[in-house]
Amino acid sequence: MAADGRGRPGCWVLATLAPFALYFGLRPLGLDDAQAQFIATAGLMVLLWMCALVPDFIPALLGLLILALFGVAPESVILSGFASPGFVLALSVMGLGAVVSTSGLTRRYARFLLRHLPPNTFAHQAALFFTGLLFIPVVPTITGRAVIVAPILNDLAARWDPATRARAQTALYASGLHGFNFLSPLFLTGAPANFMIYGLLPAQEQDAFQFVFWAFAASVVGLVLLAAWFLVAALWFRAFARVEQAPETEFEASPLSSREWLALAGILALALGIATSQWHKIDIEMVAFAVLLVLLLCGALSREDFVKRIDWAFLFLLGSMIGLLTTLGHLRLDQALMARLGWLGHYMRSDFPLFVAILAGAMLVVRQFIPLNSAILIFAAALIPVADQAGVSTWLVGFLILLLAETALFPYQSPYILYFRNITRRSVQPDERRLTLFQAILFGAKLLAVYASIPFWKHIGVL
Amino acid sequence: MRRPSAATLLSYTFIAVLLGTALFVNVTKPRVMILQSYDPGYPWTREIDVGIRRVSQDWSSYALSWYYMDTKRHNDPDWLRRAGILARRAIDKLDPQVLIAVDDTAQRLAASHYVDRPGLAIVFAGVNGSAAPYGYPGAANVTGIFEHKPLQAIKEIALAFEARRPRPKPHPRILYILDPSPSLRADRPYIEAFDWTPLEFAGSVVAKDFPDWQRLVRERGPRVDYLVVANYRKLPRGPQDPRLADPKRVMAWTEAESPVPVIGANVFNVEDGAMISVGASPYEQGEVAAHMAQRILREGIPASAIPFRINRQYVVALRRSALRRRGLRLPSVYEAFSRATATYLE
Repeated sequence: MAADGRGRPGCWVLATLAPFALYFGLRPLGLDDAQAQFIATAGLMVLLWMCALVPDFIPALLGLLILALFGVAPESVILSGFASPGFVLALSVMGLGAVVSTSGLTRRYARFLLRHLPPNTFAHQAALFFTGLLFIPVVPTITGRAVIVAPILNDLAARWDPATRARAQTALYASGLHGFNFLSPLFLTGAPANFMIYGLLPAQEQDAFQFVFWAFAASVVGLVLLAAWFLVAALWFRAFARVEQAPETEFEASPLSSREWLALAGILALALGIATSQWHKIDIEMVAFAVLLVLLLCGALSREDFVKRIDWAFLFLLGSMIGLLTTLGHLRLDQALMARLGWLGHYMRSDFPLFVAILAGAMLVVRQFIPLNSAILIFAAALIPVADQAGVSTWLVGFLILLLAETALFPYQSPYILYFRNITRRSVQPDERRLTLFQAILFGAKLLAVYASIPFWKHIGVL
Repeated sequence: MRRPSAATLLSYTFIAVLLGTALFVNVTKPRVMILQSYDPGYPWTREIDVGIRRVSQDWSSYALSWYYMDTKRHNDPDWLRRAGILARRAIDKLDPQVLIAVDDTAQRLAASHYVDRPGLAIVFAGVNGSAAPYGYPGAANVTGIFEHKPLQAIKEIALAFEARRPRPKPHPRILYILDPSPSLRADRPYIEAFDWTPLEFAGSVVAKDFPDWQRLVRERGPRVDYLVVANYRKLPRGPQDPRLADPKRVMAWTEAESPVPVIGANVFNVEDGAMISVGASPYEQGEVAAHMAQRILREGIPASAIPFRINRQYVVALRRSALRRRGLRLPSVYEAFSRATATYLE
């Protein structure tokens, strides 16, 4: 991506001139020096993201550097993202995810699954879908879950006769893809972008929407989407067939290794820590951090795996973005933003269903040409402060952004789709047109799920 | 099965002791929750927090957490319902030993639900009128400090202005204009019952919205000698526009357009643009509430063993340019006091 980006001289010229144009254009509008510098820097970052000139974490780091060099705010404010609860939580859960995926536990699970599945395509699709879903809370990277699901898909497809494969491979592929991805906004630890949204929420909202309440508040959306997915998949693909019982795979029932025990203990400890948070009052990020530390102390992750298996680029992006948004608040630009986007805040409050429709439309268009994480960042940075000022739950707006942005009608819109397609290419060749239409129908299901959740959100005080 | 080595056992013991100690400290640490009715950007709330922190900076052994209900910027019924649910959920989640609830909305929507709740002491602050609507009098777990407007000080300021006029009136008339917020309405009977003599109290009027406020200032202002204002943050922009008017704009307009001097009854009125204000000290509210919480935790006494208190301190704020514009003078002690409390603006 970076190499392609460097080949666009026009973008680099724009990136050089745009900050100056923004700065000198904004100064006469009543913004002070620091505010104009911040907006010029933010404009540069958005431009770099949109042109995909460099990997996505670099513009964010560049933004921090510029703000610090120009003295726009104290360094303690600009770099505050790296000491925030969202950063600590993301680091800890990614560490736990690394332990789980390197321990061999997921391979053992896959072998167990393949031995016990009933011989029909529906059971295989459901098993694949729920495998992805099962790992959403504990393996926080989407590609990490793709790595777990892909071998199971390949094994299942290998057991099918050619006729069944030709008929049901698109459905099987969709089950795998959506299992590890479709419902990821439902859990705080479901995707890196979720940590980003969590990190951008005001402290009070972060405290309220820790793991359990996040999942609870998203539960109605989740149930509707789950029902809609299976209903639409059944009607759309009509791929049910019995599969000839394949020969038993070689499976030697070895006892759990110490690393598998540690990974299992880590998952259970995190679950227990979350379930008993009402009693011990320790913040969820500290519980997760303690679990990671114990795992590291016990040698569950080697130094090499610690470096390789944690998505440090994302963590740098996350820490930078939280710091940038804190700086935005420090400069009182959130209030200025609200003054200009007040009409949007008004819609959020007075006509929430209309706001959802506008957001969905905007997201559908924007996602055609802006990458997933950049779209989430840009929408979140603009809308979360507006929601906060307008008196609308910032979690709800962040959750909607995650849910609606995570819609890729075409593979090029999401790197993890391309990745999953590559690692399953030898087993299945899905019908792209049918898949695109399926995704489009599911986008409608997402809207339906959001509207169906409104009474629930009102009941629990989220809306 | 291979037996674990001594080093392995010791390393597990080390981890168990470490985690056990951390868990024990967290579980047994007393928790204090400060429930603010408004948002941290609201000057009154901000200064109460300053008062609380003056005491709480020595509380190394207590866990402190703040919760802001944000009911000044948003106050429609939907928001208040939601703010109440969320605040009560936050209290349930934290399960504090002491809940410091500040201003009337926090009492009404949250703290009053915990009256006589075992294991939880309520310390109220910033309550304008009576505590009876919240069920506090006689409750086993409640104490706190009231916030009554310093009416005697307001009266003395009006008299000090009057005494320095070329032709002072023996009984200058004073009118109180307020916005429709519940806390100001709660204060209204107390203000109307106050002995204003030798001033003549011309009554209190509630403005429905900002245009109504402007009408009242223009129409009723010329019939009196002084206007008193306390707050205007819950004034809708107009009869058809429920969004709240910018408080700085309201106060700046009032100061510029009022035919008679305006005296604020909250310290932050001057920060908003008023010429002079005298208000209950937010620092006292915060400090006293925090001291009460401290006594409950350190001495292990029930909250009801500490009697309710009336506020005693007030703070004066001045804006010199506005005083000069009206050609008014005050004894120099007002300026000295205002400068000492960093509430003197040029």
